[in-house]
Amino acid sequence: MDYVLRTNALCKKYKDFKVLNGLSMNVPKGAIYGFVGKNGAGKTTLIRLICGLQEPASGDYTLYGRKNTDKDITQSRRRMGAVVETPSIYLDMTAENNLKQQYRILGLPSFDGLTEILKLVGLDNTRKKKAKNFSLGMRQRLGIAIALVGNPDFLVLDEPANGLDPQGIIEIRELILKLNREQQITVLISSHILDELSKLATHYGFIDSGCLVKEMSAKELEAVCRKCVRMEVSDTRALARVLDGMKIDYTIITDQTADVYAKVNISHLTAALAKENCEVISMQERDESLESYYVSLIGGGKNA
Amino acid sequence: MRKLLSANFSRLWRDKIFWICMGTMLIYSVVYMLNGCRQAVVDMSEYNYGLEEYYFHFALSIGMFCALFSSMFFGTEYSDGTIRNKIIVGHTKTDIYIASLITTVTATLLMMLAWLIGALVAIPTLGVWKMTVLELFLYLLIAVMFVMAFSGICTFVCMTVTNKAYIVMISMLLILGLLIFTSMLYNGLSQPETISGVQITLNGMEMSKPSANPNYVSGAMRKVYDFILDFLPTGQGLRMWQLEIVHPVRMIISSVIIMLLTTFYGIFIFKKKNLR
Repeated sequence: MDYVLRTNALCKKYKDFKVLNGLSMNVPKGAIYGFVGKNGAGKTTLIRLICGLQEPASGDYTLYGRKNTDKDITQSRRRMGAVVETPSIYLDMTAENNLKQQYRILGLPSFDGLTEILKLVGLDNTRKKKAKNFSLGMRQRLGIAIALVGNPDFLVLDEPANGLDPQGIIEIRELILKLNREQQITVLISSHILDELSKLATHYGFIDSGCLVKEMSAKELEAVCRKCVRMEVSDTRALARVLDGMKIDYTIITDQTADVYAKVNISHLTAALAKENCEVISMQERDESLESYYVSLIGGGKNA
Repeated sequence: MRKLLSANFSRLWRDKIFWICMGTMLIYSVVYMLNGCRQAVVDMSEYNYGLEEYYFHFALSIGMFCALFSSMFFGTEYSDGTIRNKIIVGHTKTDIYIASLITTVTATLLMMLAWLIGALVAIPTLGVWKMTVLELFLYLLIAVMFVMAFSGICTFVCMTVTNKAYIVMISMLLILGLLIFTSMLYNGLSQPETISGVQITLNGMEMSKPSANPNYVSGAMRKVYDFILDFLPTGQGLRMWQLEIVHPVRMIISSVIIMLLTTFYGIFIFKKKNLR
């Protein structure tokens, strides 16, 4: 698998406080990588490191195969765009001039594609309006527009839905999906709005106290969070025989517990199990969401 | 670097603070020179004066204008977060620092030029310069060099302090503090070696015998004062104001040293700075 970004045991300290503690993550090419963690977990710090705003205390990362200590890492950075925390825009400039300024910073010979970018983010009609008169959502979109100048292959968005109204959140989500699907842009998106992230992400990285607790694809997460009935029985071998006969998906967890992935007729199942001399001790419907999975992963009690 | 300069200059030409500073410098010079002309006519000294009597009086205020402009211009990069856009796309912190320095030097030199052009309004009354062409060029060269030193100091503050309000406050207070400090030194050097008071005797008021002035700075301390005045850009400004340039080479070398020191140390700190 091709990776856009790989970090290796990254550490970062602010005075005596360790913000990142040996964080290793892998962002596959073409993915929308959801970077999940509570406030202060180290999400923004990691983004600052990979954007070159800060230097790691130890560890390293590779961006498009180039190590952060390589001199030509700047070549890899040319291929990325980012919105870190708040959109980086000149408030006393119009949307159009903000984009032109970024064209100059990149040294692009002409302003070709400027109108297309403004159209893409839905700011074409307000191109002559000063950014200070923009709503938060419009500023966020302008920030993304600036990050898109120069046709980057990798977009880093730090909490893009922060402070947006529901309509704004939907607009940003659709924009990210459009960029990923139509332009094959790899997106690293940090958020603690899990429900929102679950509508976008193809891969997840869960961060807590500066460490990556778990990294998985959306498919793996879906399997973990699949709706099921957790059954406690006296003999799971007998349960397996019965479920195989009924052609029902299941996972044996222990000698006495198993997850059954179907809405079963309880009377039929218990009757069939009785024939196999297997008792049903308990049954519990489980519907694990991304949220509950995250809480179980990070430790809800500790963070409550 | 060229890309960063192109971006900085394109912003400079639209920057309100820059044009306000330019306009203020121009109006200030015209009003100041016309007032100087009026005074010279009242004193009937216009025939003794040359244009240079007031022409270099920008030297004391240019540092404040440099501090005001640079702190507002580059403070915005931090307050709006736009400095991040430059780093994210791969520009090095060294390039960003040097591009900022070049922008500050250019803007401050343009402000100085605005004064120098505006000050020509005094030619009909005071005539042209009485100093030689070589002296005039030397004064202008020293002015250009201390503008670069001021720019070095201001860029250092702008790039190493990341809060706009602090940048403005520190830049202005630093230049003002240097100005007050050098004025005190200059005042110390201006003290007469001896003083004589007035005595009231039976014969009426008489001048007392001259006695040593306790405030007179002598010996090694006088040399130190003298050196500091030549070293600091505000001191050089004072010397230029008074048309008392004695060590031009020392002044030029000092400006180069200040600019190089602030730039090297500034880049060192800026590279280590955790930008947000």
